[in-house]
Amino acid sequence: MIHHLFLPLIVPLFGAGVATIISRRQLWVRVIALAATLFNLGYGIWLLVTIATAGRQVTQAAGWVAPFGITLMADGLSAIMLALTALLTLVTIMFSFVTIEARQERFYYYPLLLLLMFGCSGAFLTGDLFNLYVWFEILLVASFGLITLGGSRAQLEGGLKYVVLNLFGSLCFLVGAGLVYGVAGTLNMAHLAERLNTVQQPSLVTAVAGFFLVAFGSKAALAPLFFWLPASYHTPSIAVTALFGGLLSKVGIYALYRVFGTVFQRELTWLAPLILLVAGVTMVVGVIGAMAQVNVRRILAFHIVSQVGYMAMGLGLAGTVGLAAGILFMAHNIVVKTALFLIGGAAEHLTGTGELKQMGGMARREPALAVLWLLASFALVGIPPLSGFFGKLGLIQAGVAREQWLIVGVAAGVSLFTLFSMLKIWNEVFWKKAYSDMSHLPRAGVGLLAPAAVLVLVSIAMGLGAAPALEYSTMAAEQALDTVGLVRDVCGADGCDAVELAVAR
Amino acid sequence: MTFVLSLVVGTLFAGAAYLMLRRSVVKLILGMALLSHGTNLLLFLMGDGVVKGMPPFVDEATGVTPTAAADPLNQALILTAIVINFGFTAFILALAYRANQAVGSDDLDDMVETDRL
Amino acid sequence: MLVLIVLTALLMAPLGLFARHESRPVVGWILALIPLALFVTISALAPTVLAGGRVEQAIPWVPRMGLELRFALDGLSLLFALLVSGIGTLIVLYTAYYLAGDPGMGRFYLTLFIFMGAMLGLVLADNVLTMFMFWELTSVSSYLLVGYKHDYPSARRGAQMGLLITVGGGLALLVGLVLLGNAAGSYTISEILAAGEQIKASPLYTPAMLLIFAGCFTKSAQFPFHFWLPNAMQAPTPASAYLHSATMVKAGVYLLARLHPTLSDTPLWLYTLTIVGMTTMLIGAVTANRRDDIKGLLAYSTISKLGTMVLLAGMGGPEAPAALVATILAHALYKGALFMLAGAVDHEAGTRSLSQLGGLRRAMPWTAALAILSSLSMAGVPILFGFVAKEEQLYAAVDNGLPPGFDILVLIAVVTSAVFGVLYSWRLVSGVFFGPRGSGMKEHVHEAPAGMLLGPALLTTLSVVLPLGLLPATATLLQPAVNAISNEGAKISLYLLPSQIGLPLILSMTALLIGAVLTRFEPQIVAAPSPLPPWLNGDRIYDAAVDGVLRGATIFTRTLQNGKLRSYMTWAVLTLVVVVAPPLALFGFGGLALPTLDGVEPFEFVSALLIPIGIVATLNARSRLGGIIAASFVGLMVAFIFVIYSAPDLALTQLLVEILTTVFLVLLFAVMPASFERLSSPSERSRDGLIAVVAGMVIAGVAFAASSVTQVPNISAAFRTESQSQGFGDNVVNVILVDFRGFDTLGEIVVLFTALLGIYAMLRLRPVADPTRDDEETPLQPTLPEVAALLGNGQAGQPAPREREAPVAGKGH
Repeated sequence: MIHHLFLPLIVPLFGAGVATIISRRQLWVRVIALAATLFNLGYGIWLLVTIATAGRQVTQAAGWVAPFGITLMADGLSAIMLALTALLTLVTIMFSFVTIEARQERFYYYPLLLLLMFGCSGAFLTGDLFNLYVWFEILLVASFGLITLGGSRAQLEGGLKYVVLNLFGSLCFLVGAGLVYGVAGTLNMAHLAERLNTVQQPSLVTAVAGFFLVAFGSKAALAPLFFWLPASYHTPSIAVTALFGGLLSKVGIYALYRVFGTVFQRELTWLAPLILLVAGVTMVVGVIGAMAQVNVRRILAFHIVSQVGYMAMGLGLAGTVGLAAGILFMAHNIVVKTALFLIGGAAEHLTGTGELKQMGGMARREPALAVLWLLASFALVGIPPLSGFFGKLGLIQAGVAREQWLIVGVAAGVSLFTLFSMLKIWNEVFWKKAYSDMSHLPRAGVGLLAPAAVLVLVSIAMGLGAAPALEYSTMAAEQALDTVGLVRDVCGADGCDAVELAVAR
Repeated sequence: MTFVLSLVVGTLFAGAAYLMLRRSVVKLILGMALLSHGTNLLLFLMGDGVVKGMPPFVDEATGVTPTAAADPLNQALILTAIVINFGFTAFILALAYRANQAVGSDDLDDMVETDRL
Repeated sequence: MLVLIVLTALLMAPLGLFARHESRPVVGWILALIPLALFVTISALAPTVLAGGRVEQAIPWVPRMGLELRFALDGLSLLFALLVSGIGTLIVLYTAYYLAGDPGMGRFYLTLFIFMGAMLGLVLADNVLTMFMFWELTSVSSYLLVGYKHDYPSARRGAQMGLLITVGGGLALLVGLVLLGNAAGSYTISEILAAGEQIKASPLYTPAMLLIFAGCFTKSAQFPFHFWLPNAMQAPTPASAYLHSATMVKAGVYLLARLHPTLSDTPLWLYTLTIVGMTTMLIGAVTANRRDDIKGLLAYSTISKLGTMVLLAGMGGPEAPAALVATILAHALYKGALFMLAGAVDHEAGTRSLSQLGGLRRAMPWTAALAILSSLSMAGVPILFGFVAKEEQLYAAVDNGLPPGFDILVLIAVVTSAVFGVLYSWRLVSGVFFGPRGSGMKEHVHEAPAGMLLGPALLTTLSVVLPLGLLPATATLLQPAVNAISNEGAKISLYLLPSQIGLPLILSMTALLIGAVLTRFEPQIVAAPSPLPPWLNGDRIYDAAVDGVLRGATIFTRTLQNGKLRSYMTWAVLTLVVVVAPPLALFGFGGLALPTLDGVEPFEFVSALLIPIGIVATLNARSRLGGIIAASFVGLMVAFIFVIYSAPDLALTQLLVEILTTVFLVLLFAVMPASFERLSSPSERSRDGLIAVVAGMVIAGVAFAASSVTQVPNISAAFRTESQSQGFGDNVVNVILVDFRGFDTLGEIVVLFTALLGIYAMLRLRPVADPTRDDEETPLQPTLPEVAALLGNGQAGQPAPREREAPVAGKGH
């Protein structure tokens, strides 16, 4: 019997393979893509419920006992990310049906999307540090393919920076993983959590942790490793931008939460001030960049950077409350960010350009789109009772509880400037009069609006249901930080070292 | 010898870093190649250090690999890394080639449009 | 019940969309039933409050954050709730006439109802976080209302200014409320007030109060944040009347009044509120006299009165709470009426400018009458309710809680403001209704429709009627509000004429007299230069700030995000060094065995040495081919190292990959011009070299350290033992790859597969305008000739011409 944890991996992989082979039959490819994503979404929701009732889910790949084989494990954090990944991919696919160029579709667009989902899902489910590296590489190379699909000069230029800087991060990750093996002799996360606390040279372990900080910081677009994001995210098709914007940098944050929350817990306490500093700088630099831009997607791209700073703040406020606030914020941000890209992208798609100067008049022309934008952007800024308010409130409360006044002040202040830059888009795209005669342009159909509407509804649900969302995030944070329970679930009651000694004569 | 090899790893990284800071795309790629070599060699030093002449094969007589043999897990990891990085190298080669075609030059300073304000 | 009251307006809001531009005013009458129902319901709950009780209701929402939907109706919230729902009813009615024929009327009603619900939620909230939620919602709905005519840049600017300032204050407020909640141990207002002593003793008191003040001052347009209110006059007049005079702007005052009972007897409270309130009061009064636009005049007078309210909330003394309550009521009555009447004039005469209006008392007699009465109330002329309120203010000012010297100052300020009040009231009335017929008006001006005048009539009637025998009843109604504000059980007693002639009455009459005299000099006063320095102009500072911020952001981003990959790489490499080097230095390499060279044979040494030599060759290569070959040499030497140190599989793989990579490199890049150009300057080179060397040293250090410290048994021991028995293989590395860690290998294969897809798409799929593009773009399995053709598209021997493609920003389809 295949353990259920393999299902969200097998289905997209299989789907991608089949879709590649029959890549000329557009309808069937779309069906497969939709089916695979729906399956993952259903599984993700089922997993969310199962973990809430039955706790952490663990299995070993090919049956090799931990810590020798590769462990797959799912806790609250994994389940949240898995479900959201599937949701985002689904919504992106729906949006692609309406907006993607036929030429691009033929050249393995959906297989690449499915492989991206495959890579992300695997990253969220693995319990082995080197295996995490492999999953990162899968999702990375899939993202490489997607970002250059179309071959425009902008994509190639931006893509080059994207690829090089992300590869640098990857290699830092690889080095880090190797160094960990050198220092601690194992790659299993549970086993590492057990062992790293007893290593005699804590400074060396901190140095090794530094590699992971740089690696994941690169992936997550924290300062000063974020430059690849604004350089490349606005170049591919709108659907791809939307998916990347909501998902990819959050995978880096997930890795930070997982690796520093579980494996490098002791180092986290020492590195916390540095992380808070990075968080604050990222928030500020990101929002300054956003204010300077004059193109819809470029503004939103810089916002991604700024918002990632908030999630890092959650990590820096080491502890359950801070981490729970960070998880809540991340979940909300994933949904809202993609929604904004889809809505702004819809306006761009309809107008034919993303340059603010050349847009306008959308409020009158597409009131539904305008309402969606208002809801989504107020959710991002954190106007209650939308989802962003609770994420922000949680972080502020956690920060106050830890007496980290500076970061709380920065977080609040940056919020105002985020609003300022979002208002720019609202003014230029929706409120001001149209730049040119728009009567010959297409109108927004359900296909264009539905994906964003779905996400906005999810965001509203997160706001109204903030209590269950926060409870789940708190449970997820507790599980992520609970190394004792992890070791017990993965290796058994005696711990991983005992298993290891028993096997190795 | 581990010490010497550590220094070699250092030079590989230094060379890679220098090349990756240059303006030519081809030098960038060569730098990335050096970087992956450096990474592989660094990984190679992990585990129990380097061992001469005792590859990790099972000894016919005892049915197990001698403890003094080289670390197999290490090698497996590096192998995986080599293949993965090869995939990436191929991709970045194609990308650099296409970028060169589209831009018409090898100079990275000619490829700044996507950030232009 | 309370939750229902709040939710009704919010949920009924979409009903407003039924009003279209072709709707008859009866739609307004029907919609007005909603706020009317709310008013009636709230009134029905009033007896409990008047008897000294409270109506409460709570619904949990996010317990972990201390956020619950907790509402309470006491005297203060009763007063405000009645104002919001009562005036709301009148405004809904008024809008039907004012916006008749306007296509956006439905949108206006929708937003108006949302605002109404939010405002009700704000005043009824018993939990500070709940209150904050509604506070922000009022800011947002105000934004949408001010920007109603969003085609006009001035409307957009006014809306944005209001939003940014109130949300900015709101953020400060949020942090302040969280601090307050922390100090009090609860977010429930009644519990916060009960914990007053504890809060005041806490170190969080000062920062919390300052932040909360910031929120209140921004919302209630206090100096120096007041300048958004005149700009909010871009909103349609019903919104100005409702939000920006009668209700929303009083939210800050409301919060201050709420916190007053136990948090106000500190110097911080006393002096901050007094100084800010006084300044605002005077600035508002003076500027109102210099405004040509009727709505602008009324806006500044609102600012002035808000300043008075803040002053009353701050100044302490036994009469202040009563005066505050009376002022709130009086102001709502006359200001609401005056705004609506101003809108009526604008609607009928076509202009809002005092210099262009005049002599309308014949054409619009009813409007004139109502306006005159309400203006008299505003001026504080007996026997209108405004006079009663002014008397209370003076009583409070005479007996205030400030130290001697200061208290006289406050008294003088209040009197001065009263004088200016007379002046601008007179200006308004005489400028619009008296004097020669204005030049800028429409040809035929007729009286406003009755429906439009109903609201102002009602409010004006109250201003007139209340003092005529209803004062004791009013006092009884307002007493619970005063109880809620004051901590000493102050009593409110409203007198038309006091039992004895005291200082307040004298001052009040004097102010009226002086004001009346000054009306003679109105033209001079209007034309006089501003008492404030020219740069202290909120509008100008705001515009300069916005512009400056945008400019600064652009310069900063251009410098940082400069498009050059090497800058980005430099940051990355430096970050790595900065993060790894300090802990490494701390580690200090102490206790590590000194490296020895026993057992090391010369050939090992030489092989290792060849690598740096190869690296140097790569760095110095003049031609691309040379560089490629040198790099390839390095790779081969690495493979050789693998051979020496017992890694045959590794060496094999490395060799194969190296060969393939070299072939690709030569294939793709040897076609470029043969030699590298020297592109970087020597100083750049040295800098990069330094960075590279430092990075290399750090890595070498870490590598050596990590390889030397393993004492723990590592897990590969198990692989050594289990490889044959469990994995059935003799080559342990292979068994690991295929079996133990087969999952990794699956991943690695998928990476190759995905890379293939991406590469193929990249080589094959080119933009439509690209000259190198193939016409047929079907993703077939490419044959060898096709591969050659693919690559041959970049002509052998010459670089592709420097063709720039279409502009890059945003066009990524």
